[in-house]
Amino acid sequence: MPITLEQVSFSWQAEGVFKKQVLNNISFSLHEGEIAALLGPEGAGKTTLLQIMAGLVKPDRGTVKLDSRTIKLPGGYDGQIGMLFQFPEQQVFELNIYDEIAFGPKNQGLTGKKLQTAVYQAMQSVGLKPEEFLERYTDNISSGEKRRVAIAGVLAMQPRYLLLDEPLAGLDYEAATAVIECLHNINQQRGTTMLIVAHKPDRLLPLFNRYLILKSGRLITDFSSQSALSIAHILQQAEIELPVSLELIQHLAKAGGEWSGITADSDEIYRKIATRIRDKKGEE
Amino acid sequence: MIRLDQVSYTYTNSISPVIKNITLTVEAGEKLVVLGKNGSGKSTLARLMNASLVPDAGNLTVNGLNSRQAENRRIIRQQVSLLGAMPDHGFVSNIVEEDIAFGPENLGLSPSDIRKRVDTALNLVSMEDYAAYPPYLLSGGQKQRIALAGMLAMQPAGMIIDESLDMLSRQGRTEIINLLLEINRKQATTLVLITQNLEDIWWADRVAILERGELKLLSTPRQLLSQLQLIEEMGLELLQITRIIQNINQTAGTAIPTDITDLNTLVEILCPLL
Repeated sequence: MPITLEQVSFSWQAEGVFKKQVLNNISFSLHEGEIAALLGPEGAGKTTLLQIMAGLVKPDRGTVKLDSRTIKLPGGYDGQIGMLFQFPEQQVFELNIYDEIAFGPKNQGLTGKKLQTAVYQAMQSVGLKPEEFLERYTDNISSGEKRRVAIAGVLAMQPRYLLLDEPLAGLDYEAATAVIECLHNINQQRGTTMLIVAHKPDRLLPLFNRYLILKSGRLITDFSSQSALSIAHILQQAEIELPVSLELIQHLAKAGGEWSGITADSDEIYRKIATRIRDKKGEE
Repeated sequence: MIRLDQVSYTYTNSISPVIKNITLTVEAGEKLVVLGKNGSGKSTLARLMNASLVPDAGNLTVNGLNSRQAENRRIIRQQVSLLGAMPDHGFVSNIVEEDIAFGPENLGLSPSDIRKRVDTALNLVSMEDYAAYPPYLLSGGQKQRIALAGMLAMQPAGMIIDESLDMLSRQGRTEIINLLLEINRKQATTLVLITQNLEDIWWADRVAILERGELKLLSTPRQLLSQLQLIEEMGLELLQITRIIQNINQTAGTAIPTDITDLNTLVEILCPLL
């Protein structure tokens, strides 16, 4: 049951003097349960692509299909696609956390027990204990918690697809760790499909099984792999600076080591290196 | 240039102070990084430093002007510019070049001087092709470049950059930091960069670490990078290369120096061990 883009193009101000082609003939399918990265330099069209997929912006040409049904754009998703904007905590507007998360499902028509269940489940998915956070004020929690409240607000509408625009931007290490863990759990427990925009994807790499790379509005790469070396190669071709762990593996492979089986997870990378050092010590 | 003497600050609707008794002098022409995790008081400190906020206790002076006196604040803000994390909050015009001209116009410069400053600023941030664009058509990173150009056009003696480069790619950030360093070198501009990212501190003369509103430590980047335990206690993210070395050392029982920041050096050490 994929979401499919067919030859989607978009220009800002198509009629005006500042006409700027943002997306050019983009086609791909996002499959159920996938977590894909959407990467590319500043101004490549990443955010606009998410906005079109979320039904907020109407493309000039092309179609978006959900389960092979063409979607009328903009709008028309029945909450099946949720979008988390950049710095979503800026749009948190209710006084307490329950009301904030309940806002979306309430507008979908949920009431009473059903509404409560949706809110509780969403909070659990992002690792915020309802008994601890339900009554707290939204301006009285840390920024990492606020980011997770914003994610829970989208999740409470039970979308099958989650589009996330820079979910780690501005978060410190601990807060980012909690958000990464939360995204992993949502995908595992709910099977939610995700498309994640990140300009610094380093810490998200273990989540991704697919890489979509935009450059000047074109989809230049659509690549599925978890192999550190292949991903390093693809990112480099797309002129995206490599995370240090991938660069290290690439250097070690060039120096003659065999590293092809290793995945793009920095924890696994250091563990493999350490194991080999130990094994060699043992031989000597 | 900026002198803080036992400065404290509490927001009106809050019980505990966000900034606690900070004493710190930023010298003219200095490059200072203020480091701390979310909620440590970094942004509040930034706003105190350009008199957007005034201390509840203690004194803050910029070139001898105390921010307590209302008549000084306008002068302080002209001397010390503050750039925030959200470029959208600062745009005043629907056209990029008009937005950048807004500051110089208010300095009362002649039209030809304003033109010169706008063009130079756009050139510096590599956005000259976007002079006539409306800011809302730009990406997050491009907006941050325009916001920075607006600050550069003011040619302030001090610049405070508060997590304003977060939406740029790593290459983009390095490019902008190099630009700021060049301006610092040529014009002796005081530079204060606020960040939670250890990748962004290598160029600083000093690093000030904030924790829960207190000045925890003043250090050089090199000294700080060797204090792994402290960095972790602060809830900050180690450099990736440091984390890798630390993990390899722990798991393999090696003693690779943790202050290596260059990948090639690490590869040279690792190869014979593998």
